[in-house]
Amino acid sequence: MDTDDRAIVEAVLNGHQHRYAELVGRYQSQIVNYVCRMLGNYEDAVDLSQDIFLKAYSALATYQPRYPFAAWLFRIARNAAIDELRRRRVPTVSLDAPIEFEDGTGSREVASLGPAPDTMYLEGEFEDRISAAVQALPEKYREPIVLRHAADLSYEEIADALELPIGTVKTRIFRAREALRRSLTDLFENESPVVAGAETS
Amino acid sequence: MSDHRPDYDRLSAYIEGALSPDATRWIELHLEKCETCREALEHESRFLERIGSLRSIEPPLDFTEAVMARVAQQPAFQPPAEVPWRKVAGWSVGLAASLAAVLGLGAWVAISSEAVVGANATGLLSSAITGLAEASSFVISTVGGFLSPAMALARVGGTIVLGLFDLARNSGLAVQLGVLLATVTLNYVLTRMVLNYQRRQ
Ligand SMILES: [Zn+2]
Repeated sequence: MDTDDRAIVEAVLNGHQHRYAELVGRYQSQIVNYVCRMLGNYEDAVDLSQDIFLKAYSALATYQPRYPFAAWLFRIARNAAIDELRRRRVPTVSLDAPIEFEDGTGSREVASLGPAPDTMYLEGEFEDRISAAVQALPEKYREPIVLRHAADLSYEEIADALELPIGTVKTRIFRAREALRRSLTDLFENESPVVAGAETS
Repeated sequence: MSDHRPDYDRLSAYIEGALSPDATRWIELHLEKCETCREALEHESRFLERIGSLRSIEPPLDFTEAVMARVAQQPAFQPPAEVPWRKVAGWSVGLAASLAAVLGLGAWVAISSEAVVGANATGLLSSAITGLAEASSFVISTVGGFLSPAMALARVGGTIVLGLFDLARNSGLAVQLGVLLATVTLNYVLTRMVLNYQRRQ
């Protein structure tokens, strides 16, 4: 069984600086995946992830053990990622076929990083397609879906990290999946006749 | 084959194991008889698997090393210094508790000796024990007077104690003695816990 995160934090706070490496090792993959899906660029994501772990180290004394460490770390990661996105002010374009969201977030802004809508996709490019489709989601939906599927957090951990009720988190994740099922329909077309959102006649 | 539209949210939550046991049982029963939903389930599994490719990014092999190189430039945290008066407080609580235990034992021995006999003995001992318990709570409150959580805990302890005495009042001397010892120990442990907690803050 792994040593509890809290025990490691306490050791670090007691002067055992090197033990922080255990926390970095434990969360590096989740953080890098999360940041990369938020920023859309690997090199930037790795740099920012390092900054995040450094920030977390500097702020470690403010960590309150009654919260899960992952949620606390992801709150730092999230602020850093959002700051970076704001700083960049990624130019956005509007796509034609908007995805309807329940709350009326209809025609939405889409990061221009993804491939053009009419690009042909080859086998093996699924990942890029999915990544681009996620990038295209409004931030409110992108964040929870990225935390769920890129960072592999549970619904509870996401609720803690985003400081939202768990019901809201679930709703947003379900809406995001619905949007992804629609925008990725063609990826699945030859695999199964059942297509999410399609009207069955 | 039923003609309803599958509930993809529920199916995905089912795949993730995020449904309640009741909802899980319900959906399993439904899947047994509904081909539409079985197909949808397969489709949804594939979909989630695809979305799972969002966590496929590997951090660079030297990621932890790079973070720790930067962490090493930060000063290590200093273990919190033991504050002398708190140490004294801890010891005096221990001392008070031990004293109370000894006094309690003494009182019991005195009262149960031939000098005092019969029903009087039980009444006297009850008063003595209640007095001692209150005294020990008071000592602890005073010592913990610097710390409001300690005070609150001491009060809770005191209330529990008085409740226990009401229960024990009509019992034999051995039970009363047991309650006394348990009380003193409980108070002592609670106070040490609070002091340790305070020290860590
Ligand atoms: Zn069905």
